[in-house]
Amino acid sequence: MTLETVAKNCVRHADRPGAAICMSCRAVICQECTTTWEGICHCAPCLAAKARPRRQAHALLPWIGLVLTCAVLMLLAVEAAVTTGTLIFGS
Amino acid sequence: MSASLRIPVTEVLDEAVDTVRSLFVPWVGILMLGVLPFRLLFVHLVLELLDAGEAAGELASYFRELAWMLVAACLLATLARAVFARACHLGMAARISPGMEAARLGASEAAACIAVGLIALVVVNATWFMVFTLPLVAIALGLGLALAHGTSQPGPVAHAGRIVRAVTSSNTPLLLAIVLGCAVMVGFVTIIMSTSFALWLAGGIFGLDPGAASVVLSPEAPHALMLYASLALMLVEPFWLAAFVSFVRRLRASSSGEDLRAWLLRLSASRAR
Repeated sequence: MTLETVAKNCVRHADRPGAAICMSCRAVICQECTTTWEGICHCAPCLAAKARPRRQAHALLPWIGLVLTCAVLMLLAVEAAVTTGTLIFGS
Repeated sequence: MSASLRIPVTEVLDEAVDTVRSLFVPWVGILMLGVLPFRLLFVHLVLELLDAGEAAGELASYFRELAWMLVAACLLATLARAVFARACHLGMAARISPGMEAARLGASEAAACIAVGLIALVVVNATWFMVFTLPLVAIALGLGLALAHGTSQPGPVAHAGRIVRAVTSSNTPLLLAIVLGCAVMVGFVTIIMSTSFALWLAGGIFGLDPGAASVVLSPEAPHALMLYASLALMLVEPFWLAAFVSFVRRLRASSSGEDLRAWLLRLSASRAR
């Protein structure tokens, strides 16, 4: 079976022409079965599988991590500017 | 994604130039206004450190205040860059200027940009003018800002992963950094020569006395050199951002199935004939 014959129709709707390929399972899917998420084409089951663990994670955790990271980075930027600048330009 | 992914630098730069031209009003102006305080403060901090010399250690609290102002200016500059990168994404997708939609940055998008901007500032402040870090910062920051578009995860770790994947997928970012580095050098030399020519023209042709101006603007003065370098960086900045956005769009097209969709359409058309 060549790639051309496989690419002919949607794997779930045999009467519909393929419009995309799911980047997770590599199945040919029709327009209706295609969902673009973060710029990447997925079929519905693969998208559901990807979304499942995200729902379980706490939504606030990444934001708390981000705020803490940014605060540390700001302190680092200030101390790096003063310490390294004094060392380099002060000598 | 393989390391052999081929995205021609010339096509990326062509698209970047077209995009900057179409986004000139008002997005390039907004980018320049947002970045200007950061560039000027950076120059000021370096000049103050040079002036202080060996007494710099005793003025640590003063330099700490300046460094905090630099961080605040960096946040403003990063937001301006994020808005411009979003305008580039939308402009490249629609082939027209995106209007106010470009200013509507998502929270995750802005957060990812700020994290990358702060990391770049830490690296620059820690290494100052070490030559090898500047291209690395240019690549990482350019990709970070370009990849932030459409992201739904604010976490810096996930964003760092995307940047690493983009860097390792193709050698185009490195080539872009080299080309844009050359553009900064050419811009720097052009600004120095233009200023010298203008001073000569003012004194020799129009009979004006450029005495004070020639001292202030002389390329031999460190502050003038720093200002010229900052100006050269600012001139290249819109093209740098647009080029990395173009690269990211092409990278996403090749890894998202968009290229497969186009291939499938071509295949269907040829079979129908």
